[in-house]
Amino acid sequence: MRYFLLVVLVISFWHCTKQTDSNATVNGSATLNVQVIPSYNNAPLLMYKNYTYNGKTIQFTKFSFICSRFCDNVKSDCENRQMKFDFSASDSINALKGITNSISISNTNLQNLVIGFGVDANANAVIPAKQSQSSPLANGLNYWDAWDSFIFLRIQGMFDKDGDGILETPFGFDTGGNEIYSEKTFALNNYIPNPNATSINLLFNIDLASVLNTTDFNVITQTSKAVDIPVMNVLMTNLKNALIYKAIVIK
Amino acid sequence: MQKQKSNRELVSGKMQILVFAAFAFCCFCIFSFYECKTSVPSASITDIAFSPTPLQLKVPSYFPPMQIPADNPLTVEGVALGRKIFFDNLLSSDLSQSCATCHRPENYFTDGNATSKGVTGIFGKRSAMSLVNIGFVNAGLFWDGRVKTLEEQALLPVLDSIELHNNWDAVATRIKNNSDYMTMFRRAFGITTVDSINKYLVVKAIAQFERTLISADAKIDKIARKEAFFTDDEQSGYNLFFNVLDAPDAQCAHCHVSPFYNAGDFFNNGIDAAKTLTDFKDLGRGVITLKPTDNGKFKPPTLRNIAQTAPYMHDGRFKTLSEVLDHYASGGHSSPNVDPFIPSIGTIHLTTKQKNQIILFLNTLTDSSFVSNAAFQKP
Repeated sequence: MRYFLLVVLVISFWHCTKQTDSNATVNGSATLNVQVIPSYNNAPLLMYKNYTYNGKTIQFTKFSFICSRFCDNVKSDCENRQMKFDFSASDSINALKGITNSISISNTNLQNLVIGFGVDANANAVIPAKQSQSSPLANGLNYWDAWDSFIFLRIQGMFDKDGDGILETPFGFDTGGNEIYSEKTFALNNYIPNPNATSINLLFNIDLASVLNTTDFNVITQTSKAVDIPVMNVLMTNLKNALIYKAIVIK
Repeated sequence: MQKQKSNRELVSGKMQILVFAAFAFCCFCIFSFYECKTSVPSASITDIAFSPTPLQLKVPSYFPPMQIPADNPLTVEGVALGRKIFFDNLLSSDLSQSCATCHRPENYFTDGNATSKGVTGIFGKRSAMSLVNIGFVNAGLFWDGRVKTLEEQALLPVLDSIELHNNWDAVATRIKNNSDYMTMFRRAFGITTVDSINKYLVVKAIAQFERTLISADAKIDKIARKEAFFTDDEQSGYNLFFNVLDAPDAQCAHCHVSPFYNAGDFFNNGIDAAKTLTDFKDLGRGVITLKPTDNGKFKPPTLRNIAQTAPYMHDGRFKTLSEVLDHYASGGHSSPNVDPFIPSIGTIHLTTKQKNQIILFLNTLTDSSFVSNAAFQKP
């Protein structure tokens, strides 16, 4: 009986050791979790819910964007991978959770973080079929054949253009193309370097009203052609400015 | 008197022994018979070589890699078995139907009907989907995306009371009683006893066969390989479809993306009017996710070979591609979650010529070599 208990103890210990090992950092790498919580004029962003835009009713059916790169401040160590933030929640509970994407990073020294909005020319030159299957770029729905580009930002919905209370005007602002790719450096305030960190959790907010900003639905309701690039540029700049870094948790 | 009684007891005792002996003999025979039935074939099964041949699919460079489950790699033997089962009526309760009843090779693995009639004569409520390039679909199978893998998918029609209306025990019993199948299961999966044959191996085999159903030799593929060129009208149709250059945006490519011209998402394409999210006749995706905003949404089917797979839509309501184009050109029906691009199409007022050009482009997605591929026919 004593031997039996000893064997059980040894097996349990071995099991625990294995579990601990699986969580340990390998070669200094860590998981970068990026959580983005969307809002519309500071209220939780819900799909198919009526909001007000320029005094008229608006409803969103899709809001998503792709981020890439994830470099430290001197761009010496870029994690050239992509994240798609696809906000589809139509209930408050899920809307408030936002979307969290994770990638493995090898450099945990991130006082600043450079994020690409869209994908750079190199990644954009590779068709979905040739992308890594774990990347959002492998999904053909994120690609627009006519541009030979991934869709960086997508805002779709219905708008009450004539103000009669009926959502009669569809809109779809899809953006993409190498001309409108850009990067932004986020200063990660309160960052305490920890070479033993296993996870770095970043929280961002984004307000869709700020992304649309001054877009005039009387002038344009869809971006899908080369001639729309100036509007796409404005939307991508708005997106960059609307993504606000809020907090960091390092474990 | 006592002697007579004693004799009677003796006779009765002998009778009891005889009856017991007979009973024991019967039990022995039954047991032996049962043993013979299971163990003899089992012994012979292991004599059959199990050395499956890995099967490498021929996939164009512009197709993504097919995601094949690690526990069901493609083998020549597995595909051959799956093909035999796919066409075998033993799957249905009355031995009248198989997978191929609703997914016929000559119809690009659809059945040409708006909805399909099951073994009890009742029609289902949705159209049989094409299985062309089905192995590349990762975002849910069936019109509502209710299952993720082909293995899971193949489990369901057998049990559906308005499809094959059977149960898996009955199917497995029929298969076990067929010596051809025993051999093929041994060769495909290395079974060591007949009892190892079960529904999970059956659907693995079917899924293996289905993953080979690759269509990649349409005109559009020849164009990709620089072996052919669009005509002017086909090119115009392509431009309308993908919103290229100055062509009006027919908005098709939001839901039908290359190379399969389908999408890994679900859309309300304005096919039905609904005042509220609960008013749809068929709730579609909403039944699966239980999200009201998903009601009335369906998976866009592949448009490869679409010109050959009429009728169209989840309920097969449109007989021709012209009717489909007319539906979209009208801007569709109104509902709270209709995709915004559907009413957008109504605003561009596609002309008859433009609609025909889109249909001509769609014709370039027809791969006639697919239906004549001997590997896809009934064995």
